[in-house]
Amino acid sequence: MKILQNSGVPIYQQIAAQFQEDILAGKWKEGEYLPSIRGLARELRISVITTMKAYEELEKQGLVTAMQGKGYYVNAQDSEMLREQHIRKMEESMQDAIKAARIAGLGNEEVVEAFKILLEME
Amino acid sequence: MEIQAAVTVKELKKRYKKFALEIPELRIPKGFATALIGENGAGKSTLLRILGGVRLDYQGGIEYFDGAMTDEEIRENTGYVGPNNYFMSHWTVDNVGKAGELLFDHFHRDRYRQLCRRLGVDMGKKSIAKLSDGTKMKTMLAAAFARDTRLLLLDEPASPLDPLMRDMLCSMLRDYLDEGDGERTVFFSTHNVADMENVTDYAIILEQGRIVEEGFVEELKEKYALVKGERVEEKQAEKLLIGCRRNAYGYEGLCLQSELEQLSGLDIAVETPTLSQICVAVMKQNTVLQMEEDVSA
Repeated sequence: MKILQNSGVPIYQQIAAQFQEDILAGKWKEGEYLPSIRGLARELRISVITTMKAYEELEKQGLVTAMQGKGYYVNAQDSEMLREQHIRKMEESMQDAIKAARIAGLGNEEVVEAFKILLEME
Repeated sequence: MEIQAAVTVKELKKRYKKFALEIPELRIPKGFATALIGENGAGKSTLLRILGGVRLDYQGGIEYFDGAMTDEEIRENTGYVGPNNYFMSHWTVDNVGKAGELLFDHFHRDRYRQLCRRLGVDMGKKSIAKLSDGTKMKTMLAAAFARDTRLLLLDEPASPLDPLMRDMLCSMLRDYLDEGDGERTVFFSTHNVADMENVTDYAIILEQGRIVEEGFVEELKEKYALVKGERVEEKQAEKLLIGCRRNAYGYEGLCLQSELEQLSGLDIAVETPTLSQICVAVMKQNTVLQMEEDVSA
């Protein structure tokens, strides 16, 4: 995990974003416990309250559940919701591609053609 | 998550001739590291000495560990490190280990030696009195960490340490909290806010014997915004800013997030303050010192 001290993005948000990505990518299994807040603080060399706030953020997003005295475990990820999120991610990337294509002066057909070639190459 | 208190202070009063420490209520959160920040003479050491049982001439109530322990148990579970010379001056570093073993039930001499090695304290024949301030502090820290405690009260542990050793101290504090799994608490005073920020969970700012601000660091950072603006608009922003600082080109100060809206329309840049910036602004707002105007008039 890479944490930037001076990126302008609060450290707790950086940690939450990293876990979010990993959970959505299926790197964490349902029911698995995240590292303890104090253990993670020790590993990442940051304060306990910062890791706690990161986990609370994940809890707000519905990705994990807090268990009194036991820590935070990973929730079952709704596969439909997961699919939605990936589709949204795909659309965002495509919009970026379209923007770049417009700047380069490419027409719709050229964009579709380029996309087809990339799909075939995969 | 509900936060319990390791120490609860109620109606604490300690009067000196020209100064009084008055704390109506204070709860030091259990399982976290709390920093006590304030000017020289704000009452930090007095508070730490009272909590550590070094001073007993005060009024008010202090409850440790939910009142579930006897005085003897509280003593066994509390470690205090401060600038007072409480080792006999002719003792060697090894003598401190021997004394620790005699004084406390859970003092681990092997751990003390390991810690001394880790901190680079020589176990030689030199007497404590001849050690540098940094080495004295390291010896005291090693002696405190060699015990099985649940509460560490540290009076300016970082001050005499070099940057590398401050980093090591931060690691030791995080290890201590982690191994305690929520049952161990650290309360330390410091002037080195920036060096200690990444181990500070809760901050208390003390000025002239009174708590002027406190809270979990992440909450304080959301409570305040650091505002920077242009010189021409300073007058309009000034009344909302805490610890405002000006120069020939512009101004900067801390503004409550809840009041940030009132600055809309002004040409300002807003960023999240560091703990150090919050402390300086709050201290500046509350100091009795005549702060020099930053601007050359």
